[in-house]
Amino acid sequence: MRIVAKYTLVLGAALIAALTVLAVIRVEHDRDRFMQDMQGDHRVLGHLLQTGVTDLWLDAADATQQTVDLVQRANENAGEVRFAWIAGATAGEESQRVEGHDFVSRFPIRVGGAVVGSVVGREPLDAIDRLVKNDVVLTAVELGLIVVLGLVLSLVLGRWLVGRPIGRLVSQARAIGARDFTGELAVRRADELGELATEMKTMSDALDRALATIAVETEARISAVEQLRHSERLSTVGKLAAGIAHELGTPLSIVAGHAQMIAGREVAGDAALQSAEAIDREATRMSKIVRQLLDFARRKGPEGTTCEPAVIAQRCTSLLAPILDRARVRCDIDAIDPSPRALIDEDSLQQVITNLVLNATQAMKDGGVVTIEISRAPDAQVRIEVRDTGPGIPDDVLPHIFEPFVTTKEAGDGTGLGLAVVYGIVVDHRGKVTVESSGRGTTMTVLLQEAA
Amino acid sequence: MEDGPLIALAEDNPQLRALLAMALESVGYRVLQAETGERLVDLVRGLLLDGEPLRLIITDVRMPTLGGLEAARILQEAGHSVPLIFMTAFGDAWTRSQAQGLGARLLDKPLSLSVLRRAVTETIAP
Repeated sequence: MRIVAKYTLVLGAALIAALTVLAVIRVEHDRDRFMQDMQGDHRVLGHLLQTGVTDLWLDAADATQQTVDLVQRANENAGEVRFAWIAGATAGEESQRVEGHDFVSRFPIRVGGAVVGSVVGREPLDAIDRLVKNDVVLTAVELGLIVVLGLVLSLVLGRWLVGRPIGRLVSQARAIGARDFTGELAVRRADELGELATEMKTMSDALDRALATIAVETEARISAVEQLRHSERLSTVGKLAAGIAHELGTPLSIVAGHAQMIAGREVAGDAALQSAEAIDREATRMSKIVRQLLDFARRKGPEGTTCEPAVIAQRCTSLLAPILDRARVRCDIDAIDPSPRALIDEDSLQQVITNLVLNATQAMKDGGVVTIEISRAPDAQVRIEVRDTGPGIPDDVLPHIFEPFVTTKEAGDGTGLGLAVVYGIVVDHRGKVTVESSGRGTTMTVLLQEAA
Repeated sequence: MEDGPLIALAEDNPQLRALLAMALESVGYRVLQAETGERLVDLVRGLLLDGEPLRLIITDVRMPTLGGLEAARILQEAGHSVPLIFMTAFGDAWTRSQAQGLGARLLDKPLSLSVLRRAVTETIAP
C-alpha cells in the first residue's frame, strides 16, 4: 500500500494546487463581473436620473425640491444604491470609482453649459464582498469534494488494481525465498501484474525442480562417497578376510543350524538324515573355499621349472572327465606341433587349466564344447586359450572378473575364487591373462614365457 | 501353526533360508519367505495392506540387487514400523551403525539357532 499512498499523496497535492489556482482565478473573475454589473446598474439608473433631473432644471430656475423628490422616489426602487442630490458645481465630469468602502458614481447635471449639481449614487461594497465570500465558500466546497473523491478513488482503485496483487506477489516471493514452492498463480489478470505473476510461478516451478534434482544428485553423490569410503576402509587383505567371512558365514550357519536341531531332537528319522546330508554338503563347500584360499596365497613353484602345456592340458581333460561327461561338455585340445614349453611348473599350470576348464564348463549349462588352444605368441611367449560357447560374462561383471569372490554363478554354487587363483599364479610366473566375452562365448587367454 | 506370530524372512541362500524357516516354525511362529530385498518389500507391503499382523522382519544384509538395509529403509520411509532383525557375515562397524540407525538388532553369521530364537522372542515381546 505504500506505493498507492505515495502516488495518492502526490495526486492529492497536485489536485489541490491546480484546483486552488483555478479557484482563485475564478473568484477574481467573478469579482470583476460583480463590479461590472454594479457599474452597469449605477450607469443605467444614473443616466435615467440625469435625464429626468436635467429636464426639471430646464423647466425651472431652481428645481432643487423636485430633484430631491425625484431622487427620493428613485431610491425606493434602486436596490442597494442610494442616490443623492449634491448642489453646486462639484466635479464636472461623470465618474465612477471606489471611495473608501463604497462604490460612488457621479453624474453632473448641466443646464445651459453650467453644472448646477450632481446626482451621486453610492453603494457599499459589502454586497460584493458578500458575493465573493459565497463564491469562495462554494468553490472551496467544490475543491474539497473533488479532492476527497479523487483521493478515495485513488486509494480504493490503487489497492484493488495494484496494492493487493503486489502484496500477493511479495508474499509469494517471500515463500519462494523460504523454499516454499506450493503457491498458486498470485494474480490472474491480462496486464503487467498478471504477466509478472505468471513469470514468478514459472520461476518458482523451475526452482523447485532444480532444487529437487540437486537434492537427489547430492544424495546419490553422498551415498556413493560413503560407499567408496566404506570399501576403501577395508584394505585388500581386510577385503579378502571380509569376503572369506561372508563366504564361510552362510555354510557355517547351515551346519550349526542342522546340528543344533539334530542335537535338540527337533528332527528325527529321515528328517535327521536330511539334516546330516546338508551338513555334509556345506562342510565340503567350506573345505573347497579354504583350499582355494590356500592356493591363492601360495607362492609360485621352484624357479626355472618348465613343462609342456599341451601335456598338462591333456592331463586336465583326463582328470576332469567325470565332471565333463556329467555336464555333457566335450573338451578339444588344439596344440601346434612341435609343442612349446612354458616357464612354469606342472602343478601350477594344472591348477590354472583346471580352473579355466571348470569355469568354461559351468558357463555351458546345457553342455557344449570347451576348446583349449596352445600356440606361440610374439616376444617368445606361449599362448594358452580356453574357449567356451556359453552365454558370456555380463558387462558389469567383466571388469571385476579376476577379483576374489566375484562370480556369476548362482548363490551357493562355486566359490568365486577360481579366476583369482588363475590370475595370481599367472602373474607370479611373469605372465598375463586376459578375457574376451560376448553373447557367443568367452575366451580366456593366458600368456606365459616360453622356455628356451 | 495357524495362530503363531507372523514373521517375514529374507535370505538369498535357499538352504539357509529353509533351515531358518523350519527352526522358527518348529517353535510356533508362522514364517513367510523372500529371497531378495525386492521380494521382501513386496511381501511386507502386501501383508500390511491386507491388514495382516506382521510382528517381525528378519533379513540378511547382503542379497543380490536390493540388500536388507536398503529394503528396510524403503519400508520405513513408507511409514511401516515393524521390528527388524538383521543377519550378516560382516561384523564391521559400518554395518553395525547402519543397523542401529534403523533401530534394528544385528546378528552375526555364523548363526546359532538358540541365539536367533532368543532374539526373536525378545523382540516379539509375548
